[in-house]
Amino acid sequence: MTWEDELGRVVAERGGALVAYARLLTGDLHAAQDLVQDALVNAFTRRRTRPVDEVEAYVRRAILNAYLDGWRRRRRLDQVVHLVATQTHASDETSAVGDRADVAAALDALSPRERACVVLRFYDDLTLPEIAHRLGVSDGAVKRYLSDARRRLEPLLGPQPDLLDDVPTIAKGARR
Amino acid sequence: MTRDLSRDLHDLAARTAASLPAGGLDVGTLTGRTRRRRRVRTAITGVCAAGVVAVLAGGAAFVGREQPAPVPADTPTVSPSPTLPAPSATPTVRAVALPPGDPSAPFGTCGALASTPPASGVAATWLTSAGVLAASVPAGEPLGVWGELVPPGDDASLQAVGYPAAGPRFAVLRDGVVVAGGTDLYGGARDDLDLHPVWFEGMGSPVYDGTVALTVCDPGDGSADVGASLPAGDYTLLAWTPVAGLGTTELPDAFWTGERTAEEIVAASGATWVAALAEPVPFSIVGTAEEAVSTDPGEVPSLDVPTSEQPPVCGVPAPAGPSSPLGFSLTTSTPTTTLAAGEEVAVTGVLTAGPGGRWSLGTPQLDLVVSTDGVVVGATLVPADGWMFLLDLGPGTPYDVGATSLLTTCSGGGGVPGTPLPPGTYTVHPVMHLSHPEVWTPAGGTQEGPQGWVDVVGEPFEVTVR
Repeated sequence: MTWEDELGRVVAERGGALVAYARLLTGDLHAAQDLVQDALVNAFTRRRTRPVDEVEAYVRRAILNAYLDGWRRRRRLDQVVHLVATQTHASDETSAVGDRADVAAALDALSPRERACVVLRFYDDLTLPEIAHRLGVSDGAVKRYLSDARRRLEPLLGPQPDLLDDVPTIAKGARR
Repeated sequence: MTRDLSRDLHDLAARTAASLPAGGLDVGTLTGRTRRRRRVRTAITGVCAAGVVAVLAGGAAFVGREQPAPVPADTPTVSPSPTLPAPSATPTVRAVALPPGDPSAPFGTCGALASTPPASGVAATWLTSAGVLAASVPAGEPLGVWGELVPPGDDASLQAVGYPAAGPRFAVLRDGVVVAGGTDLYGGARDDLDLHPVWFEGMGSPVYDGTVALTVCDPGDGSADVGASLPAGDYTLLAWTPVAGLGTTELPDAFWTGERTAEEIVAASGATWVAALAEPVPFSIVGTAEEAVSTDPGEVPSLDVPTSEQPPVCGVPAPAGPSSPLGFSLTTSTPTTTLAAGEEVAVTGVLTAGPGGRWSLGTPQLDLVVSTDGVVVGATLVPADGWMFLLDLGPGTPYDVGATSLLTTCSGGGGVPGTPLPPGTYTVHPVMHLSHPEVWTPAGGTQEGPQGWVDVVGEPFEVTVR
C-alpha cells in the first residue's frame, strides 16, 4: 500500500474521530480541522509508513501539542476571550443544567491547559501522572489545573467529585 | 445533579464524528500538501548521517522525559554530496556541509546532539514556551521566533527565579544535531539578569520576539560551511531559558526599591542554573539560496514623541490615526460593521515594532476607543491589576494583538468596564498603548523612551450598533 493509500485510509477511517478529538480541545470546528490537517501532513511527510493505529496516536499527540502551542502564542488574547466566555456562561447557568450540549459550552469556560487536562482525564482516560507526562508538567500542576477546572465546571454541570480522583491505568488502544 | 463528564465528552465527540464524514477533511488537498513536503525533504544537499535520531514535535526527547535512541560514537562525518548537474535553465545547487554530531559538545552548542542534556540539569517545573512565526521559511531568510519563560501554574510553593534579561536561547537542529543558532535574540551581547516574581500578576517575563539566522554555525573544527544558508529540509527549533531558583516565593523589597540588583540577589542565593526547556518546534526550509538575506535593523527613530498620561477618558478628542510613533505601526482587521445590541466586536491585528534595535515595553490589551463627531465616548480597555504584559521585540518584528468586547463607555477603573453604548453609529479607533518603551542596540546599550504611554493608533472604522 502506498503512503497516499495509507493517508486516504486514515482520513476515511479515523478522520471523524480525530477532528472530534481536536474539537474537544479547541471548541471550534475549523480550528480542529486545521490542527488535524497539519498533524496528518507532518505524520506522512516522514517516509516510513506506519500502521494506522500508530499514525493515529502520533496525530493525537501532535494535535494536543499544536493546540497548546497555539494557546501559548495567543495567551494574551485568550485572557480577554476567556473572561468574556466566563461572564456569558455565568448568566446562562440556570438554563444549562440537563442539556448535554452545555458540556461544550462549559468547556469554553476553561483555560486551554485546564481544558486539555479535562479532555485527557475524561476522554483519553489518562492517569494524573500520564497527563503530567503528556503535557510536560509536574503531577502537582495537573492537580491544580483539574482543581481549577472543577471550580469552573461545577456551577455549570453540577458536582464533579471524580475530577481529582486518580484512576488505575486502563487498557490502551480502545477506540471511541 | 452530578453529570457524568466522561460520558458527556464521549457523546460530544461521537456526535461530532457522526456529523462529519472523514472529519470534513479533503484527502486530495492533504495528499497534495504532503507530496510537496516529501519532495522538499528529499532534496537534501549533503545531510543524512546514519543513526542520528530526528527530534519530533510530537514527542519531546530531553532529560527527565522520554530519551531518544543514543547516537553512535562513530557517527559518520557529514560529507557533501556531489554537485548536481545543472540543466541549462536551472542553477547549480551547491552542497552545504553541516556540522557533524559531536557527543562531547555541550547542550545547545554547535554540533551538539539532541540527546545531550544540559550540564546542570533541567528545571523541574519552570518551562519555556516557544514557537515559530511560520512553519515554512524560504532558504536564505531568517526564522521568526518567539519565546517566553512560563511558570507551570499557580502554586504558592513555587520559587521565584532569576533569568537572563536577554531571554530564551534558540538553536536549530537537523536530524538531531544543532546546525544553527545557539544564542539569545541579543546575540549574546547582553549579560544582565532579571527576576521572575511568580506572584506579581501579569508582570512575568516578557514575550521575546525576533529572528534566528538560518546559517550554518561554527563547530570549531573546520568541518562545516560556516555562514552558508541552511539547505532545504525539515528542521527543529530548540528553545530554553537558563533559570536559577531563588529559594523564596517573594522577592526582597530591596529589589523593588532598587537597593539591590537582580545580579546581586541571584549571586547571594547561591542558586544553580538549570534549563527551562520548551517543546521542540518543527519547521521547514524550502527552495535554495546562494546567500543569506542580510537584515538591516535600520536606524533608531527619535524617542521624543508625545505621550498620554492615562488610558483615554471620555470627552477628549479622538485619537488621530493611523500613527507610527517610535516607528511602531498597528494594522487591524475590519470586523463586521453592524452589531446587534449586546453583540461583541472582535478585532485582530498586528503590532509591528519600530526599527533600529530591540524594544522593551509594557502594554495592556488592544484598546478599542470609540468616538462620535471627533470626541471620545467610550473605550474597551478596563484598567485592572494584572492587565499589563511585557514585550521584548526585535526591530520590525510583528506581534499579534486582538480584542473581543462590547463597545462601552469609558471604564472608571478598578476592573469595572463601562456601560454598553446605546444604538447609533460610531467610529472605532484601534489603539495599542506602549508603556515606558526602551530600545537596546549593540553600540548604544539601552536608551529609555518617554515616560508615560505612547499610543500607536490603527486605521479607524465605523460601526453601527442597532
